[in-house]
Amino acid sequence: MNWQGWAEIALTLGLAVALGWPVGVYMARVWEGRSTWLDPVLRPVERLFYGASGVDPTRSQGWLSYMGAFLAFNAAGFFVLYAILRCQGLLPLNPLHFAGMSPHLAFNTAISFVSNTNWQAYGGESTLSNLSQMMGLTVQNFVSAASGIAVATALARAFAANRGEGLGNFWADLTRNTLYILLPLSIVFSLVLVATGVPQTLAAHVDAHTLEGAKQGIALGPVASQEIIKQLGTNGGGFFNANSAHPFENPNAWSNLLEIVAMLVIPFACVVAFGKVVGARKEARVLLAAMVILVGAGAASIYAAETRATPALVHAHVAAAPNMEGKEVRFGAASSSVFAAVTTGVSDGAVNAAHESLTPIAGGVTMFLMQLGELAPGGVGSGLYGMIHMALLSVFVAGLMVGRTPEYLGKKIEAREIKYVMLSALIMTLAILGFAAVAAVYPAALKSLSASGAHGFSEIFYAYTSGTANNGSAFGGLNANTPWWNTTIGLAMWAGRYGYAIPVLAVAGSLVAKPKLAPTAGTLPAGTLQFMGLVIGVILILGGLQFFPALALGPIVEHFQMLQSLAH
Amino acid sequence: MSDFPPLKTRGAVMDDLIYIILGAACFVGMGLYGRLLRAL
Repeated sequence: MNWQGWAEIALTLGLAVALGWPVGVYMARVWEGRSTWLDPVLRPVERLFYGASGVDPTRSQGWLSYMGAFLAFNAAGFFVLYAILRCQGLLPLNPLHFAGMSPHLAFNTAISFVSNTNWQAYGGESTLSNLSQMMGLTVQNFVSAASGIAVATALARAFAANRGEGLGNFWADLTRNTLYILLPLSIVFSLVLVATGVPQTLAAHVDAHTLEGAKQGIALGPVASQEIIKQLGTNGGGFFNANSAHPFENPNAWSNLLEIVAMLVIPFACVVAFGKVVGARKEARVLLAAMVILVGAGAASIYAAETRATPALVHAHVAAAPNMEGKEVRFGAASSSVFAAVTTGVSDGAVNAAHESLTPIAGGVTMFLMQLGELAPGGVGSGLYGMIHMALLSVFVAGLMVGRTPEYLGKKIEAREIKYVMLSALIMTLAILGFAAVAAVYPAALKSLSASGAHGFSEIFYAYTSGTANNGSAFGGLNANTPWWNTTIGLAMWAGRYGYAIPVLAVAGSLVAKPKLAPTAGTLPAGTLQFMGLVIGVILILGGLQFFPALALGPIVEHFQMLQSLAH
Repeated sequence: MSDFPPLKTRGAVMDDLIYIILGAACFVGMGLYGRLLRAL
């Protein structure tokens, strides 16, 4: 550990907040349908989309109608992507003549990209054509992210409304979030990435001559454009199998910093935009601070664990600190630690180091950040609605303590909303622990593990945690490209995305019709440090109660094995 | 698909059919879940 490492973590998070603030102010204008400085260029394109699809953007939808549109759009994306992946051998832009994916891998990959997870049970450069990457995956990187932001937009409108009737129009929200937020940011950031050395070309590969005199083809492609939306949209699916550890995806310290900031900027901006739309800036700042504290604590814990020498390596007289196994030398421990915390905190899933090679406690922290439920700071849109759910739970708990009906941002929170919030939380637990329990005793699943004992369990637990939390990163020793893993992780991703988002829309539907109440002397103020502490406490206690017993079987027991020199 | 007992290998066409139906059931199921929530 050194001060430069701590300064890097603080600087990265500070930069993301500083950038997220103006982006959030701009996003609020987009959510409210107000004019922006991009209107002269984008308004005609927007109108073209509405005209071609027959959408009336002013027609507000009730929550069931909004949910139906959200599900229909995602279902259509699933079927189109499945078809592209199965038929890529017959389609153009396939210079390396890759065959179609197997049905179970195509199922997994289609659900994965539609649900904003980007779990990849394949190597991109050895499996996918350029057409599959661009028309299949990159398109979903945009629209799955825009879908998530749309759900958050609907929730913001519900809090802003006073006896309102609708949540807005899903199709308009999807279009505006894509056109006005994701596309412009992607263009600007991808040009910066190209300047740092990331390739953007349709060439298949470049030939290199090795020291032994052999010729090696190194895969190329439209990397920068996929790379940036992978981070901005908290998607995480890499162009290359090595993801952001590959020098073409992430060549140097500048690209690394940009990629980390890109992961954080929209989740932070969503909270700022929420505060502006609802008229609750102080309360939004509290939620933003809670997010920064949680992800900052995660990064600090991982950095501390990764820079301590392990007893077995010290005993073997090996240079044991920092732990450089699985890390890129050009990034080192600090950059790898902050990347690992951010990618699991924001439900992105990109990696610049092998998470399986993290020390047990650091690996456990990455799992716990995902298990908190996509809120530290969570994915684009999903981070905001996950955090709002925890805030609702917090005011409910506080209300029980003092015997008053809980309110949040002027809306009375009743039994119906709390039931929806708890259903969201329980679907995470059910999918992660249920699938992990079955896989831990199912022989065909166990064949895919690269380790036994506590670490083997961690591979299983990480996989279902990552899938359900729509993260997509993995403990790389697991061979997940089998029918069992592809099917069950596919179902976990589906449950984690839609099983969480549907109750959010139900909460929005319930709140939108309620009157906006003025605060009274009995209202719990939600813009204070005390409330921030309460929210963080509720998040940690809920996450701990749900997942600590399973964590004890994996990373925690492995940590004690490490201290006894039984593992390194 | 020999290691997944409920879905034995029946050739690519049958496997495609199985996964397309499974995908459709997932999204329809979520729609029904939403309607169920409304009744809560």
